Amino acid sequence: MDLLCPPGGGMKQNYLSIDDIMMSSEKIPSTFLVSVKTLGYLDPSTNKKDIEVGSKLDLPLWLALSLAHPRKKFVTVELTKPYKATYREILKADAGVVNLYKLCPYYYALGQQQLSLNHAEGILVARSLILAFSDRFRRIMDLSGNAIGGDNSSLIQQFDEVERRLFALGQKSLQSFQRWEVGESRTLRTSELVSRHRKRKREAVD
Amino acid sequence: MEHSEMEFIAEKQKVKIVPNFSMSKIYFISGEVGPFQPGLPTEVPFWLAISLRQRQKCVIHPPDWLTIESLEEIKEAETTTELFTPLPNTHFREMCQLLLTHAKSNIQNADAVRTLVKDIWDIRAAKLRSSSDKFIRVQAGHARIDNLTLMEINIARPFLLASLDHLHTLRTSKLHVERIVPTQ
Repeated sequence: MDLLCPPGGGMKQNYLSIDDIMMSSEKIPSTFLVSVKTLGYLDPSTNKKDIEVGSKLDLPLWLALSLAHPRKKFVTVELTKPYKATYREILKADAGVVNLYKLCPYYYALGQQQLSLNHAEGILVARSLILAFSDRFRRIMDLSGNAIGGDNSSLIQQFDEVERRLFALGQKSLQSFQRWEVGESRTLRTSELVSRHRKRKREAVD
Repeated sequence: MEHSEMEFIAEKQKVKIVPNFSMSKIYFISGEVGPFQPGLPTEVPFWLAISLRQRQKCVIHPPDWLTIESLEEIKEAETTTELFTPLPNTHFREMCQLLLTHAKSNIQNADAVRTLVKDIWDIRAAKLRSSSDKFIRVQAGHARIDNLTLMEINIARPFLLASLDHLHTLRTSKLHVERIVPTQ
């Protein structure tokens, strides 16, 4: 699929990419190392005026990335649930059956973004992302190369956004091949714009 | 690459026809096409053969490899080896498609031929899928496949390239975490 502004992909984010914007609104559990005056309303569990030291909040990724910068030391963050050891073990056992969309629609992107937060388990997370993708590749390839029909939502339910895009690419190749086989690539069609523009046509005038 | 473009390129190949009209040599930009005599076989580019056939001015002779026997041989060879066998023509599939559409009456057992061609195509597609799956699993740096036709490459290209791109970004982030490759 052609995107006007594709997601950054790795550890970079593309400022204007809708995918990256949506991905960076995922919540990261963070603990405050300093107290912050008058921002107590951000914490739904207490109704104090300030944020105390040591209070745990779920901050969106874009906020957590700036606050957790090693030089600033406002918060410490921990890995979100889908990247912890339990889920890594599940993925290692059989990555093909895991519903990545439910865990996190931008599974690979969020995982890579969290790598820059310097967790101790970062290297394990990175390895598990690669293994998960290589395991799931076969399934995506088979489904996209063989599935015909208008509604594929039941098939791609378990795929996260990146995998869904790959699926759409495979589908496009398949459909264009089928159209060629049938001979449809040769027929010229009136474009919708022309048939709808309702200007007077020459035959009507004569 | 669009399928119609690949078909266009395939139509440049030469094929034998038997015209039923006579004409002197024609000079085209890509070369000359010999004098036509009714009943004498001549070699012409395929696009010309199709156009003449549609006006019923010739009979197209299918190439030698489009018989049931040779196709069965090819299919046997494909099923036995793990690698891709060289096909008789680099534009195998397109030629078969065009011949079967336009010159159906000139081919014996056109339906059986069509089934065989499709079988060969399916076997090769399955091999391509399993070899790309193996390639990704092992995370090899490069792979080499011989004897793929243009059409097969073009169908596999978008999906495979995008997946490899994704895998590459995952690997780069892993290298970053291992402090080997710095990001900006």
